[in-house]
Amino acid sequence: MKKLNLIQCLLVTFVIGVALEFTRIWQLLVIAGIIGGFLAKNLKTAIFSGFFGLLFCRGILFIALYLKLPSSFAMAYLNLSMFLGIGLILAGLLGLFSALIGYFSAALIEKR
Amino acid sequence: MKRGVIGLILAVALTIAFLIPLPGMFSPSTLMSMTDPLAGIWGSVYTAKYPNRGKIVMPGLESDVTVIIDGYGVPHIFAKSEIDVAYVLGYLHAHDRLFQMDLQRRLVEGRLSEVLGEAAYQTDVLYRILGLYRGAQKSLELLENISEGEKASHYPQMDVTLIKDDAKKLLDMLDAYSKGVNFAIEEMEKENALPLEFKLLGYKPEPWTPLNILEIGRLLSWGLTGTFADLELYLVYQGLVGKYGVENGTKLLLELLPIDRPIDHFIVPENESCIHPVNPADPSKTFGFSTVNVETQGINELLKWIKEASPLLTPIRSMFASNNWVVGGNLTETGKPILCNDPHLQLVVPSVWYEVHYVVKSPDGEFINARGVTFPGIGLIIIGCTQYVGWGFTNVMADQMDFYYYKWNDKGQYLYKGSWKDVKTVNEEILVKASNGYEKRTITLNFTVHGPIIERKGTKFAICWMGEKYGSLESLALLKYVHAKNATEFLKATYYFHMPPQNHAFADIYGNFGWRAVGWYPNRTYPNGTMAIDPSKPLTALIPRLPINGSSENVIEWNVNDWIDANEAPTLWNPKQGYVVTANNRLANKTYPYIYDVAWTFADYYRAYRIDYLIRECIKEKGYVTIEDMKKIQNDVFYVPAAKLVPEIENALSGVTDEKVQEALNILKEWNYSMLPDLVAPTIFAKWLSVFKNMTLADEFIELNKTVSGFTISKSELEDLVESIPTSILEAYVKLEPNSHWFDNVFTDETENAATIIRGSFEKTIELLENEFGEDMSNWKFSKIHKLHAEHPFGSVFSWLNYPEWEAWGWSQCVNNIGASGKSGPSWREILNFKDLNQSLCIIPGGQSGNPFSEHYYDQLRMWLNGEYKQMSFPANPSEVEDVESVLEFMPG
Repeated sequence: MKKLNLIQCLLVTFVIGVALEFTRIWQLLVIAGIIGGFLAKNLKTAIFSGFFGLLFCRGILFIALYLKLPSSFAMAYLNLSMFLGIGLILAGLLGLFSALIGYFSAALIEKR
Repeated sequence: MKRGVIGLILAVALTIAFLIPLPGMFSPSTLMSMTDPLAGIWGSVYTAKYPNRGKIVMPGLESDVTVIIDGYGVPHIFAKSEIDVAYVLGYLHAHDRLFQMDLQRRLVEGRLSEVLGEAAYQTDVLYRILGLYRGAQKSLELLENISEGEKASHYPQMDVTLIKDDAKKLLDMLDAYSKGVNFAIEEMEKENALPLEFKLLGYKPEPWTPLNILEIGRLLSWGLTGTFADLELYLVYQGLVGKYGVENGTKLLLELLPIDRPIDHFIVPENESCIHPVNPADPSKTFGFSTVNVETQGINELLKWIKEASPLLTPIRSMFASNNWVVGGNLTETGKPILCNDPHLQLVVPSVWYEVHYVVKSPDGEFINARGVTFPGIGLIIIGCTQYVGWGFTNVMADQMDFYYYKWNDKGQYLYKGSWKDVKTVNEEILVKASNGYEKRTITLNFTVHGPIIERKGTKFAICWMGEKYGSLESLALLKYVHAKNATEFLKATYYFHMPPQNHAFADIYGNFGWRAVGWYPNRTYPNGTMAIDPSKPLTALIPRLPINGSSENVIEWNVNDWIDANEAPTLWNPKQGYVVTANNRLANKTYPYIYDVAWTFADYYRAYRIDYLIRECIKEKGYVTIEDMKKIQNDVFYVPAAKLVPEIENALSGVTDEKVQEALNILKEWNYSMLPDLVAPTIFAKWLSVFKNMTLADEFIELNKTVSGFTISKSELEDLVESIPTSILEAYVKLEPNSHWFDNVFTDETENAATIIRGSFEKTIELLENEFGEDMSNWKFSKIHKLHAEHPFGSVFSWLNYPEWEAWGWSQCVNNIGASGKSGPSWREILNFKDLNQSLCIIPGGQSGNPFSEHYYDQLRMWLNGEYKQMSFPANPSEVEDVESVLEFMPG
């Protein structure tokens, strides 16, 4: 199977992540991380693509919400910046851990 | 291979730790859910603003309804029936204020600990005992009974056949309103747009019911009539009696809290008479004080617990003040009445009131054009105006609450009318939120014939509060107010307003105006039916102000067969004076036979006196008052107590050469008595008044603490007690009895008088202010001690939810009565212009929306603080609404 570099992996995780966000079941985001990690060419790629893929995925949604109702969301982000930051970092961590699942699963399958 | 397996296991474990929901707010899973862009806390941002144009299909609506949201977020509802108005108003209230509504409902029902945990448990216990929800249930049953043509058993003098149809209609409206709320809850849940607070607390609101509407009404009543002052007074009384004996102790109590104050200002002017009741009092008994000793230690414990259990969530706290006045057309520039009202309640976040305007044009020709303020959770205008009649409220300070104590035997029975009776017990369950779900706790509520028992350390009192004991019909009165076509019809409708008693100032477009102290007042009688309170025997006025001996053979009780009803309440109709002013001051003199039955604890005369003076000044100057004059009066910050007492300070300090004292005195001399933020004088005077009260009165109570066994009063209780003594009583002593024994410090050998205490307290004030703000007096600006403190229930955790702490002007006892704590003040200002109602004005201290992300969260706050107003128009059609922000079309589903 062809392995992907960091940019490609990041893109895959990000796109699948955004699509899954619309299910409103955040737990499904692990699928995006696992797929990204599975396709990563090395551990570093898996880690970075998983972390930043889902972090960007949430980030872009936060930006989209802001563009929809700028004044209200500006107020919300300003006052709830702690939750905004936590949301982004946790999404990144979920991406990282799930990417590791994908990466190590791929490694085990390949070894066999 | 091994490394890969370990890595995989570790990654799976960490991922699972993320996915599995764990108890507590700070688990990764909970935080992921909360911060989810599409399903987390951000959802409530969507409801911050209504869509510019929206179409909403609502099952249950009778016809199309158009709602225009204006630039301040105020909805203008155009409907074909009042039922549809109620439906849509329920939706709008929930959209803008759902959490506020739910929290208040939980408070009333004693169910806060279900969502707040242990911290709210004692509050729940207190509210279960008080039983606001039991009273609401009785009100609902009363309405249902009346709608079915049955008699109102506790109000036999009321001809309920006249209101059968109204009761039916009201029940339909309560039902429609609840459905509107529930429709909004469903919509918000579907869109994941429930208010932020629900997400932070992790629960969802239950459906709204008609009972909940009446429960919120009970909360209003509790805030304005519920008080434990009888017990506090009894504590003081027992201390005084313990040291000085019954006769002298009573004399001292009445010196501190005289029944008829030496300096006062009545609502009913001297040359007018209010409409007299039909059955004047004819008591045959002479009132004698009870000397049955109730352990003061127990009362102390009881009051301490009540204080701790009383929540900060209450939107209105006991004994806040308000102003209203109405000037007749003969004395206005326009030739028609002008009516003003500013009810002073707790300044909370979101604002207490929710403004609404609605127009009903029914196919059968009914036309209502009403605007005013509603209470979120109650779909009726409480204060406001229609195309015909307008009204405003101030609290009568009525006494609809008594406490009973009894003789108990070993079997836990109480003595009542010569026989031992068992208490009635009811077990209730309280669910307390815990880390692993809920903990179920059972509490037992005990009742005597007079009401629920409140108990601490063996000291028991039964609480006889009208809001718990009987159902009431004020919601029906409010419905009838908007149907009144003139002031006469309005006055008739006031008959159904049971509680909380309110001074109704009213006027109509035909030029009639007046006032009535509306409410139903308990008629306290002896077992043989004679009235217990008699204005010719002022001491009898103390009966409802102290706990009553429920085991006495001559027990005084409420006679429900003969209430002092609204038709017997003092009333002024087009008074000769040309205007009426009320500011929680005393209603009338003793020519009104029920004066002591109706109320006793009136506010100081200062605000009423000042409003009266300013109106007279306008009339003297121009011959009439204008809307501009009314704005100035509502925002007046002149401090009458200062005007009365600064000259006394000057006299007392003459001859004092101390530089600091002279500097501070000069600041007071040059002051125009305005409580403005940039001035130093208000800081000096406000501090001095507090120190002066303390130095005058505290020593006597400290002495009681030391000498009367069983009497204890803590430092903070003492401060509260001293602060609660009306300033006008101290003013009277300074001016009329400067050598009163109250000025003598019982711990010194010298005999002090008013001048000595004024001097001492002034020097102490300077010392305290120097310690607090430094020696440079220019730094003692009033803005340093007086700021707004309008707090959200979560404000201590998320301070950004509170309103900004802007500097405030005005003070307790000013017409612009922003309390010393900055937590109370004019919760709504309205100026109704009956020449052209569209030129009326209004403002609230905050905004329409309870959503912190809304532009209307506090968009009126600065204007309110600056004494500015917004137009209170009455557009009859959607096209006439100005400054349109959103247009919502509601259609039947």
